[in-house]
Amino acid sequence: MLGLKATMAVIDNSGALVAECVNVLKVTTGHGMARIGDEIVVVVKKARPVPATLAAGAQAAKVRRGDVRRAVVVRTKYPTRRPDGRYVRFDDNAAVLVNSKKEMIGNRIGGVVAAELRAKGWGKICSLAPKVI
Amino acid sequence: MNRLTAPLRQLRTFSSSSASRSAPTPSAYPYSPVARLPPTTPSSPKLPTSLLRTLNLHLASPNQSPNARFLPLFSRRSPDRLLPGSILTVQSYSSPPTPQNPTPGLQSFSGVLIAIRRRHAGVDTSFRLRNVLGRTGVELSFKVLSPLVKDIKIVQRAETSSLGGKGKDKKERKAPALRAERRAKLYFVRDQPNRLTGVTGAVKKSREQEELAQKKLRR
Repeated sequence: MLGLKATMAVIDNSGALVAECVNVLKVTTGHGMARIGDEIVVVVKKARPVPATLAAGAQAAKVRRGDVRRAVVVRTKYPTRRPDGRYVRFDDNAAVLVNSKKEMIGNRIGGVVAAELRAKGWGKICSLAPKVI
Repeated sequence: MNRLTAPLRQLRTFSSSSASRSAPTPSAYPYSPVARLPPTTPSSPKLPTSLLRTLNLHLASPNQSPNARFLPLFSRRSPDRLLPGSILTVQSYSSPPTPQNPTPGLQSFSGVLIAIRRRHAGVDTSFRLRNVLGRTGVELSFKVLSPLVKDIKIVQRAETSSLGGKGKDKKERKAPALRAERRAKLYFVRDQPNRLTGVTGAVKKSREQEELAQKKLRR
């Protein structure tokens, strides 16, 4: 349940550390909040410092503080219900940065990810994640 | 004769007479000695007035489901009930088993038991396991009677350090390996990251012990 102003950790290696939600895309429910697997627009609030000396191709694609990007919600503190009545709850909110073509910006994921992503079409994220719960 | 007292007197006589007790099927009708009633069918359970309770009675026969053997672990007064703080491993199917695919992929989750929720005479029993994976805490709640839950294994039971036996049989008070928490719901643990650690260690240990036991059996 992430809406405007919600902060979350960014768990890929794109360079961002903390992101803040600015807009929730395509959610038609009344509350208009993002759940696991929803796409949101975020502002990068905290990022890993990019050393100015190195100009490698991979590092040039890194994200900086203040960037506005899209992200996919990957963990929420709000419990998610599964069809048989099970609930999953994580201790924090987390997201993975994505571009407008739904491709990941980073290429590694460092953390647990919810299994709801597979059903919502984010199979690539599930395959990269070290653990899917 | 008072109209009100007559039937009462007859009731009393009927209750004390041996004839009514020895009579096979028709139940005595207190207002006429000649009348005969059809035999009553034995105890169909009295349906409650509430719709949801009726539905629960009809839809859920918990003792017939294959997971009913786990219910005593989560009941309130069973002698081998689990205490909060115990470490469990649950094996669950990722999708419901169908006739075409009776055993879909299994997923196992281990964690500390932090809450048991019991409703509707045990039919809606669920429990919550908490574990720290990577650096994030994950809580997963399972419905005991769900067909998606395949197996619940007890990795380590939490025990109280109470004395067993009475009088001469009293054992010495020993500190349990895993001490039961003094609370039914352990939600406070979310704010204490140093507490209830060692789940992965306990799970690994029990798995190693199982493997050793299996190796011995094979020999």
